[in-house]
Amino acid sequence: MAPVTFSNVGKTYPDGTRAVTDLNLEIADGEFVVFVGPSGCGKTTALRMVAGLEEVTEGDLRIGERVVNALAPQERDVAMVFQNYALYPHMSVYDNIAYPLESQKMKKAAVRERVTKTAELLGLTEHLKRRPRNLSGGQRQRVAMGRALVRQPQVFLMDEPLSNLDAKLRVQMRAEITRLQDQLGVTTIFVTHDQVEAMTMGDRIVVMRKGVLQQQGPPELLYHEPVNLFVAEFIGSPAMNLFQARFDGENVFLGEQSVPLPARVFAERPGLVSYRGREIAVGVRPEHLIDARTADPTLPRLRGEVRYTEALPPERLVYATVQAQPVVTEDLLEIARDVDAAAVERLEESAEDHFVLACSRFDIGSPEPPRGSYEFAIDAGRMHFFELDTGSAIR
Amino acid sequence: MRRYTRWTLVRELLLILLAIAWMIPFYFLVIVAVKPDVEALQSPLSFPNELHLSNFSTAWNDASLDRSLLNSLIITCGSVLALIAIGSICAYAIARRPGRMSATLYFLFVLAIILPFQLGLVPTYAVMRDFGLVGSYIGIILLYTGIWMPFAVFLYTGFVLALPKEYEEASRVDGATSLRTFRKVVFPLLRPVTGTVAIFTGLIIWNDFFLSLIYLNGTDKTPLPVAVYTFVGAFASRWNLIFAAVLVSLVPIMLFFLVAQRQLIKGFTGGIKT
Repeated sequence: MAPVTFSNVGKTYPDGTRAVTDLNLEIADGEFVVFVGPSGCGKTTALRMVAGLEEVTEGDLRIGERVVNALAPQERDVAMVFQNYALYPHMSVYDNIAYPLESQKMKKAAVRERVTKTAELLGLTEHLKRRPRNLSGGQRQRVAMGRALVRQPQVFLMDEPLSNLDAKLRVQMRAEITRLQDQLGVTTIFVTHDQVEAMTMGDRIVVMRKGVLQQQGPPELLYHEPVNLFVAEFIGSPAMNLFQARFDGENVFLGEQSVPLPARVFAERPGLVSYRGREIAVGVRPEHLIDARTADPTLPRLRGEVRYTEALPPERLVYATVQAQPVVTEDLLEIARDVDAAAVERLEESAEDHFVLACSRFDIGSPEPPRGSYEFAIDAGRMHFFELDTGSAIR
Repeated sequence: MRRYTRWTLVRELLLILLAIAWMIPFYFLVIVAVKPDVEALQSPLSFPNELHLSNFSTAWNDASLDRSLLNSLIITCGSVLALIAIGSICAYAIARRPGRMSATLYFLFVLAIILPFQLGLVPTYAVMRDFGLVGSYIGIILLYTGIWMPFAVFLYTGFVLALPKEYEEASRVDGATSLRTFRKVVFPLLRPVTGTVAIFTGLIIWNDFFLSLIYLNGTDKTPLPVAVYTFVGAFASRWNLIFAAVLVSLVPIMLFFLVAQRQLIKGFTGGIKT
């Protein structure tokens, strides 16, 4: 087990494509770090550089004290779980798990003991003689884990290992991987594009975009204090509601509606005053857009048109359009693009028609709001503010 | 829906007829092989009046088919094994190390498939003779391996290119050396194409007459096709013995097909199953 350190690490492909730019990151011994970001953000490349499957073109990559830039994968003592598991199809489960040990020329008896133990740990004992193709998705996933675990490597690398599982199994394996990592205490880098996975699994999350690290920190930090629009929009499900707003020094105007900001906001963000008279981006998490019927009467109100609701016990998601300009920046378009093409279209359409489809979390016990005009309360003290042109948080 | 329709029946009958038509040469082969000399020449296509089974023993002894059978086995197996061993690893290098060197090599191999080997027959013979390789197993095996290597490399390269890299990457991360990765992971995954290479080149080499005649005639290393040629004379050919010898030389291949049939079809049709 060892720490992993990226010092100014970069990756440029021979054709000039930059996959990772100036990555600086220290991963402590035994830490569980999740790399997250939309496709093409460089997270997998960063992981593959640790594995030795991609060459590091700039900077130094250390595992423990060793600079590993020039070391072949087999010399790095890391183990990797691949997205498609890459189980050797012609070998039995036993041989698959034993393979890394045999590669180290371990004695047969010792191999048998370790494989048996690992299989027990993962509940694979009865499947040891079967071929990968005769296993279910979850079992294959476990075999891949077993092949990584059996060697007790310095670092575990996992490249979207849960993306091929169905939703229920994914939740189960999520917990299992977290438990195993906790139990074994091996430094782990886990790559995913699913922010829910990232939030639930990692000690620390690293958000990447276009090869550049955007923000890193514990999940709560990223959720409550995103450094820019990209992180704000990417972390959290449903995503943060973003409005383009005018700021007059005391209120923000979402379209025609003004929202007075409490003193707390200015105390926490001394930088905000300098934006007086300018357009900024304002973010509201769905849980801070509240049902006005039950909200504190002193909270500012926001009117919207309820379009549809989703019952998702213990909560109800209420979607309402608010007459205000949405935030459309390249960052947000990129996130939308990662979801699907229709999401981009929806975003552009709402910009054209000057409305924001805002999401609000209601308690499932509260009566369903009627379609049409409805009043919400905004917990204005917990709003987020961003510069429009750079997207960085206003602090 | 009825699964067995009238059309199915018609199709089946047609296929059966086709199969019978396919068997006609084989029928002639058998009936001529059991006729005495005179009858074989006078009425080769009629049904034999008596079964002259001694043809087989005569052919076997006169052409020393036992020895030829062994020769054929040694030459074919040797060449095929060399083709598989060298062709696969060569193609692996070409496919997995893209660059000018690999591209040039690949181009040369493709060129060698296009060019007829007969173009180099005389110089090759001269070189082989100078190295003392004419009339030896090693010589003929080298020759066949060389002639069919471009084809083997061509087939293997296409297959390796279609093989997901992840298996090799997993193996390398698992601590295996390149050689171990090839031996334990890549080569077993190449099984379908190995089957194709083995059958294709194996059959060609087993049946090859021309090169064996040039390089091995007159030695004790002649394979079956040349041995059968013993009964072809300048003025008269003993067709009954030739056919008997051909039948004998067919037996190993038939056996091979019967035993390996299922495996072979799998090899031709199967891809990688994960």
